[in-house]
Amino acid sequence: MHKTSIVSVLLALLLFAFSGLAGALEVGDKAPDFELASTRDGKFRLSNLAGKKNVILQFYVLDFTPT
Amino acid sequence: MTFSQKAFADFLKLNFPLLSDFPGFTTMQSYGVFNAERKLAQRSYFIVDKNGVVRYKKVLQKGEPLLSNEALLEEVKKISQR
Repeated sequence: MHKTSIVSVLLALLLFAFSGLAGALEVGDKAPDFELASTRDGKFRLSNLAGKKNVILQFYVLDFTPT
Repeated sequence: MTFSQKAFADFLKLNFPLLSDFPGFTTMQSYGVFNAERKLAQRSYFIVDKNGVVRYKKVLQKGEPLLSNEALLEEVKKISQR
């Protein structure tokens, strides 16, 4: 295999491996917007509450379990 | 798909909505709380202020107890003051 193609494959693998670690969401970051199906009023979009309310997001695991 | 989720919300008589990040898992991923191995969320809390900025983040480790409502509301109070 040609030397430069080995280097570029290695580089691609390294970038892929580190992409998950880079830029984890932290306090002070802009909260990623999302729109999801909701049990109330069909859909919920986070940015709809901008300027209006603080929002608590609680990620839970499974319905009908002690979350 | 969210039928059981609606049933869960009704059962608990919740005054807030439950949201479903299934099947895309994109929100869990963008918040960095996706357990890819089990395809589930990590139990976690975020408080987002009115400017859309994350002001509080807590990811529970295995065995760590859930936060009480009082503790959560206390955190909201703290971020509202600053």
